[in-house]
Amino acid sequence: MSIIVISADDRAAEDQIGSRTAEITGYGRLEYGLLKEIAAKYDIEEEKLAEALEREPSLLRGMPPKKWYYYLACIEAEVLERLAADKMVTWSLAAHLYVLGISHALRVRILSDSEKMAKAVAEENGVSLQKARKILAKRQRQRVQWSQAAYGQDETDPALYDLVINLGQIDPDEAAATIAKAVGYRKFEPMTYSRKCLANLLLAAKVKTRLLETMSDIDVQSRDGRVIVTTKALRRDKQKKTLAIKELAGSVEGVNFVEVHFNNDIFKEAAQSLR
Amino acid sequence: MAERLEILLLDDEPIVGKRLKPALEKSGCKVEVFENPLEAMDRLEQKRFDIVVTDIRMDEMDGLQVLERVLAKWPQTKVIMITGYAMMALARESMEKGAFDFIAKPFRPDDLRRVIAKAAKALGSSIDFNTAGSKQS
Amino acid sequence: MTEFNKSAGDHNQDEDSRVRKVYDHMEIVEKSRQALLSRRRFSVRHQIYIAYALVFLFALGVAAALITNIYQIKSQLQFLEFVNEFASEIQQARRYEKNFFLYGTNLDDALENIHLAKTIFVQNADQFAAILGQKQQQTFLARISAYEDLLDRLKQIQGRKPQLFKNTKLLSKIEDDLRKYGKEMIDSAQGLIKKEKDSLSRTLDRSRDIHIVSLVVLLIFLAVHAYLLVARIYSTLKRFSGYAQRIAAGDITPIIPKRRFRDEFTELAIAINEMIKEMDAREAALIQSHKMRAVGTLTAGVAHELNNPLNNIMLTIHMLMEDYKELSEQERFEMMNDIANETGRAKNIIANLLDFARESATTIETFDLRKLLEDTISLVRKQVSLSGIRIELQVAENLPSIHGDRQKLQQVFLNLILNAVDASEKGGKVQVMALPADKPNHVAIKIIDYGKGIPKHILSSIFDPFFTTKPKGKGTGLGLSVSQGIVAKHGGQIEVTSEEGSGSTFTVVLPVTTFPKEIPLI
Repeated sequence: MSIIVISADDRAAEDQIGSRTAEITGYGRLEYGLLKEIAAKYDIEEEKLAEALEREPSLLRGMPPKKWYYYLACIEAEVLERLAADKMVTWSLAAHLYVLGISHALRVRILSDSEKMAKAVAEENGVSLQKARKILAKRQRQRVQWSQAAYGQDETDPALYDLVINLGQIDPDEAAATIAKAVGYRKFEPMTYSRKCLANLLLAAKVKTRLLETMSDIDVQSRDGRVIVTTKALRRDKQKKTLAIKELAGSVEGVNFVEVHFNNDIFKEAAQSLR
Repeated sequence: MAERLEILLLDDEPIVGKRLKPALEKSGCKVEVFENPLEAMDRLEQKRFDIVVTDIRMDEMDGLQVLERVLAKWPQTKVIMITGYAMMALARESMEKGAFDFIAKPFRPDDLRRVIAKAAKALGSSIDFNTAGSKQS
Repeated sequence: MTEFNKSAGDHNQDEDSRVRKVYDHMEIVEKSRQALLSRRRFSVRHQIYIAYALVFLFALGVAAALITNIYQIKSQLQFLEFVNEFASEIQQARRYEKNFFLYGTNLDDALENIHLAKTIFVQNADQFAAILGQKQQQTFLARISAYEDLLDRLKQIQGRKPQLFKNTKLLSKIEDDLRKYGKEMIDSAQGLIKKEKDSLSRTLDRSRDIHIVSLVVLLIFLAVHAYLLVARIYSTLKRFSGYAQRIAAGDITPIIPKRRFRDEFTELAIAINEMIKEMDAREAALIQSHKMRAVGTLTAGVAHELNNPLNNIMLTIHMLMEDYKELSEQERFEMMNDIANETGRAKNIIANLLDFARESATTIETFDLRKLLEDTISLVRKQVSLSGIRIELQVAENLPSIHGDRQKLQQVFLNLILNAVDASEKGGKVQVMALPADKPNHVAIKIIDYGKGIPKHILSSIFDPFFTTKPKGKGTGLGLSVSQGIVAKHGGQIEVTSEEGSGSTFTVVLPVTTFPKEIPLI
């Protein structure tokens, strides 16, 4: 009856545990396979979507920040849409970074056995164990930077999760069983409030996707069909931009009121960055 | 005896009871309204209600305490939490303690009606909860 | 959808006033910049250049004086030579003259000598005249001429009428005259030599004096200049170290001109003012950011509190729409009245929060401490009671009023109360007391909790910026440091005593109705 969100630093382990959990619980799977569908729907190359989930924007690789945010918004909107159906296990689509404040979403972090991973990397690339450790540390740093840049969260922060499982101590099968058991706790049962929260996230993501298609610097929040868009604009452009946003956002199904705020407030930004 | 859904509504905001009582009665429920949780608890000691709707933050007693005591006395009763202080931790705590559902304020009368209809169904009673009169807006 | 425009408008206004405030402050710094720059430029470099130029000019003058002096000495020496020659010619002439009278030798030699003397005298007549004066020179020349004439007469007498030599009367008359003129001439010549020697020695003395005086003057000038230069640099450095200390102590008013001219230090002053501007902006941002954090903490209480009136409004409106036709006129009126009341309630809650969150210019006012503390507590009451903690307020009777920035002090108390609440166990209590302080003319506000207390080893660092014991993401570690900054600006201080295991007491000591030392213009 709930949602399981899995995140891991090791893609293979993530895949294994995600699939196993879906089998045990009988929940639907929501993983990178979805990218193909999204690519088709929004007319984006599938590789670009995969890359957006993997790395920070870079002009060199033909991924300007504007596109990057748009790709991520597309993925977010599509994933949230499917999660609204309940009984879902999701991984590899960064859901742990945007499914926030949903009481019926069990958020799991899988920690890999770092020594084992170092060995695997060493073998794979034919380098020393020490070098492999360095490669892993660098990869981890990149992930932290990526998650900070994309969603303002550090995905390695355990406080973000309900359950953290260390594969150094627990086997993948045991981990899947643990997850399946935990998701059965009453705590993670959906309720009117948490479904509403998810619906709010979904509507916000849809509006954001629609707006990011042509604009940048967009932040969207929604509550019961009311959408609040926060963006930046020069004073003289405000009127025009407001109209454009209201037009676009209003065209998204489920939106019945749009509010536009301009945030050129340095103090607030300072406050937020300290928070 | 024609069974009617018996509901106890507890909220220290008088207007909540004043508006929801007729709203629910229209749907064919028997509603008793309390503003003071201690008085409500006294009443609950004497009588079993099908559904208890309670606010969480109240001065004399916490809604979670009400939840626990109701379920301790009447395990069958469905308890619906309504609160202005909706937060994930509070929602999870309520569910863990056995709440049937959790609604964030502000809500529409229909939101509550829908949850009550669900609760009625879960009670498995033949009670007919009439959602008529609720117009979707 | 028209609602949108209104909210955007409010936002603009807010932004405008903020921009204006920042601009105001920039204006002050800009003004002092202009005041600093508008003065006449007189740099240390200029001072040194001018001093060198003066020393050079002085040396040039001394050299010129000495050179003229040397020329003078040279010409005086030359003249003295002439005079000597002249005198010796005359003496020679007289010697021959004596011989003539004693031994009857010839007079030609005497005549020749006196002629030579006359030639010398005439040739240097100008110089003689300069020394003796025109009149004396004339008499001198007349004497030489008279002497020469006498010698001539004597020679004629000797040549034509040797018998006249018998006429001793005539001879002795000529001899007397000759003696008289000769003696006068010798005396005059010697006088002349003496005079000339004196003049030469005076010129030499002057040369010596020029040397001594110029050295002394140069020494004094250099000493005075060195003193002025050192005093200028030293006093300015001292002043700037004063500024540095003042700024370190938290007083960040811009530097204003203290001297009538500008120099290298002016640029330093301008740079410091720029730095002050930067610091000011940062401090404002820090205070505001901290306030926004406190606002964030309050949202759990105050903003959620909004949901109750909103819920009442929503329920009432929906029921009104649903049952409009069945309801009596009076019921409808009652419901609409409820909506109006609940809207007012929501408005008050928001106004409270905005009052606190508003970033305002510093306004100094006199206010009642009890009222401030009551307002502060009411701001957190709901949220605090949610965590099951009681707040007790005790204010001593007849407590004098406080003078200061009400909003900033409220921020301090709010922060201390929230900290105390965080430190308290569920079901505990927090005491807020206001009473006269031990120091005269001061009041103390104590915020007491009965929580875990603060371990001794971190007690000294709790006021440090970014020091926090709260879990990551919960606190910025700026609350106490910002609070202390605010209280210090009111001339007060925050003290803390803590007993591990039995709680902590934070005491804010504030002066009574005295004007604060410095309130920065934010």
